[in-house]
Amino acid sequence: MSTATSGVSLDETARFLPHFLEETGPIVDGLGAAMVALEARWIAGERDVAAERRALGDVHTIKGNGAMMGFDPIQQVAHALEDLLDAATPVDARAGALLVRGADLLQALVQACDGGVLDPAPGAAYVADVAAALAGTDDVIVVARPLRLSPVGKAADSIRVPFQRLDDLTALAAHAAGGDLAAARVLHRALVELRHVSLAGLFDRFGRHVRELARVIGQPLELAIRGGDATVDKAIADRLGEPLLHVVRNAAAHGVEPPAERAATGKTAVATIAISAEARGNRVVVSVADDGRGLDVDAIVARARRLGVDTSTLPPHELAQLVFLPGLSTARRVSSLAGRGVGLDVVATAIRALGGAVGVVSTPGQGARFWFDLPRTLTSPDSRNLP
Amino acid sequence: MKRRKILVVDDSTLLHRMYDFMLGGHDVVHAVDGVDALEKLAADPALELVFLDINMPRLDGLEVLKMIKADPQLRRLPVIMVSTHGEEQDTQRALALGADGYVKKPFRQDAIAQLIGTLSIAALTRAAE
Repeated sequence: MSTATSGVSLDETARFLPHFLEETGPIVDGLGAAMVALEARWIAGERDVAAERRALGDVHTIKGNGAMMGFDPIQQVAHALEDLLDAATPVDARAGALLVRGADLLQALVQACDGGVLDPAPGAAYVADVAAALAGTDDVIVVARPLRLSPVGKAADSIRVPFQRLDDLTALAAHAAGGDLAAARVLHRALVELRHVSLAGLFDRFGRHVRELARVIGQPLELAIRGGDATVDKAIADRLGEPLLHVVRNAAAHGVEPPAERAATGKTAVATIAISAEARGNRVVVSVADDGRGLDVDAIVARARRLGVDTSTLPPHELAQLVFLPGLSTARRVSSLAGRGVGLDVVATAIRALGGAVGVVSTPGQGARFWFDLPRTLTSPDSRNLP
Repeated sequence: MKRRKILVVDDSTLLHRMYDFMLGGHDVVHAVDGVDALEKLAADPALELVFLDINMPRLDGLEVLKMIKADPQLRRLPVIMVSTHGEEQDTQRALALGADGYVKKPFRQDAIAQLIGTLSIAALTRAAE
């Protein structure tokens, strides 16, 4: 009988890396969706033996391939995820969150493995958290579960223009070329309008996101959309998707109470997240409102103080705005752990970069409304020089 | 080094690429799971050695091993179990069921070359008994 346990050489790692990525990449990509679906079952305390077996097969392949390549963190995370999937212990939300976190971590590790040595720290933390969860100990604090969502699609890269409109614009351009300044101004306004798209295209994509979120948090959510006919410059609509998704995710993860808590306060079982837009002249206010518990302003103030912020001079309605401070969002830590995502400070930065402002209005027990006040048109330097 | 005809059984395509590389100089026959392995074994009596992954879909390595060791035509065929971290119990079971050796992922070319050499001697010893 003989044994061999040595690892592959660096030469072999380089030689086989393309094959490793070719086979393992699609497997880790598919694993994420499978774990999100399974998490929903686990949150409800249910097992899904068939899905768990399929996932085990995939995770086992990732583990074996990672081991052969000498990618120890991949092998270790996959092994912990196998233990979790294989556990005979009752399943719950905490174990379910670890499923998704494991899949996210494997995806991040596989993506990172052509960049040299893998950082062992996130994998080691994950292995410890899985061990603690399986042992039933309570030294893991699940601040918020990492939410995995499909990226927000971008609006189409082209705009359809009727021939008649083009003919009108061409005629205007001819007048402008002949020195007619009034025609030039009309032409400019018409071209700016041409770049506008309605927000409905962006808002409609949130139907799928909210359904996905409902699965992840394991309770029904209703999406209400209002004012989608407001138009903005296409460049603004394109860059609004990510910040909007972030606050919607935030509402589902932190704002909405569990059904029992809602029932106890006389609320409907199904929580509502409302996305709305309201055009106000050259500006548009886009809001995301939920009917959940509202922001925990005391906790936000306490955390801001720990960050060294003097909150004593702030009027009461300003305190909730502290949630946009860098380093304050709890979601930030979890998201960065999962290798993606932003905190509310990054949302604020993104909106300000568009020439907008952000704010939040929170009513304890009744919900929170995040708002973005945005210009409808991106002002280009050239247009300012027009008469 | 004597050229051998070797069956490698694994559900990972990466492993098959690695076997091709590490077993250069031998004839390598590929099977992607246990069912495929039994078909290849039945079709090719010239196979001299099997590298058999433990965890596979459809039919796992332990089941394949049992069938090989229960088959009068096949039972002398040396079988090397291929395990991954966490399969120590399965490996011990496989050895109890008659597996001729095992390697644990990750393994290197020199390690399996050494294994093949050891098995050749073992096979000769067994043939002489």
